[in-house]
Amino acid sequence: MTTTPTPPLDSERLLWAIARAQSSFIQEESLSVVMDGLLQQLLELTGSEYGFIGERLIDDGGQPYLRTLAITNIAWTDELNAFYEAHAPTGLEFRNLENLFGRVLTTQQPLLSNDPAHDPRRGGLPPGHPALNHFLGLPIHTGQEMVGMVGIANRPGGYDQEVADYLAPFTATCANLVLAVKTRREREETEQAQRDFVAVVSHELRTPMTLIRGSLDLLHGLYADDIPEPAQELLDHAVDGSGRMLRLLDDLLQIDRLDGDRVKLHVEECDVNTVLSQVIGHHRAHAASRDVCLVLDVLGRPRVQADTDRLSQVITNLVANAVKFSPPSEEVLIRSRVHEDTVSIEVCDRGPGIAHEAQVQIFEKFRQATPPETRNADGLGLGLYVVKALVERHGGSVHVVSEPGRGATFTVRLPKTASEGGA
Amino acid sequence: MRVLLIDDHPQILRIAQMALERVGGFDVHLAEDAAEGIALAQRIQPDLIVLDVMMPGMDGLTALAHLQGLPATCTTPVAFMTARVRDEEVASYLAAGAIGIVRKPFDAMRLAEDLSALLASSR
Repeated sequence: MTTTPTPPLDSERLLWAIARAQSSFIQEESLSVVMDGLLQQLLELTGSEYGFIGERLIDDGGQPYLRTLAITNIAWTDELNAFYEAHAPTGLEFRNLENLFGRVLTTQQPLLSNDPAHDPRRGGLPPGHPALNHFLGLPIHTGQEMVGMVGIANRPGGYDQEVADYLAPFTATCANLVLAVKTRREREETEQAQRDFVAVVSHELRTPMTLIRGSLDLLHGLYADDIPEPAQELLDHAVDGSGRMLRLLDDLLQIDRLDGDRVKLHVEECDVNTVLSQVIGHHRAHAASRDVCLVLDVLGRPRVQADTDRLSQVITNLVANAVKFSPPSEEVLIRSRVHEDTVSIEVCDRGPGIAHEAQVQIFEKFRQATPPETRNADGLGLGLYVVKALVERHGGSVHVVSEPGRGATFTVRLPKTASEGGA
Repeated sequence: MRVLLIDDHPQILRIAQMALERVGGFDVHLAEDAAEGIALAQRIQPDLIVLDVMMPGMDGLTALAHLQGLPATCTTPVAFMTARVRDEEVASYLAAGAIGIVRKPFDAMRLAEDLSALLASSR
């Protein structure tokens, strides 16, 4: 046996460890980091050799089992070590309850054993397992429910009731963290379910949209001359509406990717003015149907490193918005400029403008500048969220300058290609 | 140009057919499932096969593998026409040997032009 003296129980250090764990959790550090830190503190405070902090979960058959939130690596073979490295970050699961910690899970009571080798409650250790000389298992309760437990081993001199009492604030903190973890996990699952739903919906809507778009394109492109004047106007409305619906679908799909962080940019040298011309070309007829004129004002040859399709989507959303909010007989100005380190793209409309307090909100998901009487338009409020997210993925920024009643100017700034010669 | 369209959705086939015949002047053949399409492809020897991805029975990627294994069609260019256009999905089509992608909904007035461009760039 070792002759290491029994370490003292330091209350001040215990409180400090708890405070640190709580603040790192609040700062949204990853759970495994918070829990690993907490376990490390627990081992040091009690002089224990190894241990774990785990959740108590219930399997389909109603049996409790343990999933670790943090566990000391006591692997005694390479194979076990590889297993630990692969699975410890997401939690190891233990379903055999014929042992000391299993007893804590089933009885929901603390367990103290200073002679495990002769303890009838122990189930035996696998060959090669490090020595187990002393064990303390403490349940973690929130109210009446046991949500987890801590298990620690091999404190020199063993464990006693004093150690268990000393750790009461610690297990109370663990209880709060486990509860918070469950809440956080549920929130993440809800968000994932939302993303899955959006992905499925936007995909499923594409088949009927293919029929609508395809039919309208052909009607408009091949048979427009055969269609009488009043029906022609209806056809224009249908083309307009289906175009908007398609943009919404694209935005939804884009959000699914942005939120899932699955947007891959295919960055290449990109001539901004070419992209602007293309986007304006696509929108000219639509704008003209609303008696809005698109004006392109370029100076120099702005070049950026960008994903052309995404940049095109950014401009498309801004131009489509400007046209949507533009009063008839007004123009929408699209302007590019080359600056020292950046390229700017401005889209200016003479619409109703955006109230100051709404100018930050409009870049959030599912937000439009409200009240609706100032901006009379439909939409889910996804366009500007996509713009901001995509521009930021390119290392750029977007902002808006607007006075209510005096239009709005959206400015996108992107880092200029290094070799750019200037205006 | 002779094009074979394979899609389980008859209305989409019909619209694509009209677009390719009337706008592009193509010789268009249709199949509503992959097995029928593979049989037809061997008979008519199209210049291009346009395949849907999600189809009951045999899906588009499996159909492509079959086409690549048949002497009559192993060199026939294949493009996918699909609503499944996430980056990783598109990458898997190209990795499987498709010459390109047309995303649904497609621009019917430009479909012939887009397919011609895909074919030209693959040569």
